[in-house]
Amino acid sequence: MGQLVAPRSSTLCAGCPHLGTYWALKQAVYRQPGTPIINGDIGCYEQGGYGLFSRQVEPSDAPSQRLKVTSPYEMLDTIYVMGSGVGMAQGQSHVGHEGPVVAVAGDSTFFHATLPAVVNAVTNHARVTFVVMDNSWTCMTGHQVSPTTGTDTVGQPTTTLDIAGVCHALGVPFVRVTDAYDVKGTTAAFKEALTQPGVAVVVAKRECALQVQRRERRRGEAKSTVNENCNGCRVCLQIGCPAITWDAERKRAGVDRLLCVDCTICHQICPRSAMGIPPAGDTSLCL
Amino acid sequence: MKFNMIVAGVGGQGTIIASHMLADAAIRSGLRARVGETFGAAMRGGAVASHVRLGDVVAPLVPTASASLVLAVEPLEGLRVAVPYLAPGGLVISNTRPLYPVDVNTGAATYPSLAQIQDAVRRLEGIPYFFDATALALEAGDARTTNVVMLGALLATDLLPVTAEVLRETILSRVPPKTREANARALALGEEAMRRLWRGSSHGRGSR
Repeated sequence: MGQLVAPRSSTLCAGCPHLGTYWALKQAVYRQPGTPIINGDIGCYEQGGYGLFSRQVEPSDAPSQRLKVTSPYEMLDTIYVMGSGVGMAQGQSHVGHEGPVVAVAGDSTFFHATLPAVVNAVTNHARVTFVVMDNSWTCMTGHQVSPTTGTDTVGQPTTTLDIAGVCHALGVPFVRVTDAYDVKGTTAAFKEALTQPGVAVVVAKRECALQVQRRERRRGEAKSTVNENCNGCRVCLQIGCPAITWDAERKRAGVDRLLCVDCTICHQICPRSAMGIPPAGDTSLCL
Repeated sequence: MKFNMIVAGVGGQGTIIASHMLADAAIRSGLRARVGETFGAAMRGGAVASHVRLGDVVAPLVPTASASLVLAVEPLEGLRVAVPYLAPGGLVISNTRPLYPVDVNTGAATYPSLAQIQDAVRRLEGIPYFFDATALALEAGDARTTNVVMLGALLATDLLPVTAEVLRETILSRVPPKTREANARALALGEEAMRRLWRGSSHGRGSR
């Protein structure tokens, strides 16, 4: 009976901008020479490192490397200690790791814990790509405000701090800002960042999907569907979005429209343009 | 008197809110209540179970094999909780609509069929009552009222030591005012659906 109880690994929310950012990072980092080390901190983006209960491998062998490329939530090598990502990354850089050295943190973590580490990395010539996933809130702990939210802790309007601007002021030589829902643009920014000789920051910005849903009081179903171009390649499932389902009988992907928020990440990734929003009234493309 | 039950579902389905509503309704009825939320790193999309204990109870967690009732907003989660916690003769009242885990969607695990789940409940000496609560929630006006549909189902059994009036009042006082109508309708639809199943079962024959 224990075998019937399928494991339920935790996931990012449907339409979470981190789904797009991690996908873009994956496309860029595994095309660089050498084995990447990706250091996370703690926040919703830590989910990028939890993996799936149902797939267990030893950390350093070949199946583990393959899993990192084909499975969602296998992007991080370290997590949990706030501010540690940039700290550990610069250490890895200084001992001469041959391969991309990456740190990942959110907007809240950026301000809360990484600023001194960024200063140290810049002034001591570390070679680190620092991905800041800016979703405008401190989400993991219950959507508290962050210095990027625009409201203070009692809900009054306040200054919004600009992460890219702070990085420029800290002397970071390469800073790019992208839309986390723009897969191509974010991937290109990462590819450029990973070839930089010093500290390179990419801020992937897009508000937390849950906050957007709450504010817009969205009702009813999303519009995204899978059309007959789907050949069951399963690339979309590797995104890790809980709204993308798999019909094992028909060997086709599907969209759970009660969970989906029409973020369009899967529309952009599908190699056969099988995922999208059909023109209004056209039900012929729905599976 | 001791009443042990567990509300199970996927993070984001409102199982914890539902367990609080039950506890609150019990307290308003003069009963002692304890809620033990277990979510840990489950967050949204992970497995969530909320233990609800009413009456002469102290600790917040239901002892193993002691839950008279598992209320499942998602079928796999109902089974996950029933395996360790369902008492012999206990009820599993469950929604039929699955939320597929990413493990299943990426091909690393298989989702059991509803028949397999119901059969497993019987093998645990439990009694399954399964119906499409999500469809009823949509009929009530919003898929997010699925948890309240399940609470409605509880009213059709004679198990909960809380009256329908107190439960309804508790729920409606705890939801956003604009959603009261949809939630009231969800509660009624859940009760109606379960009543049909209950009357047809050996539990229901001769009662109410």
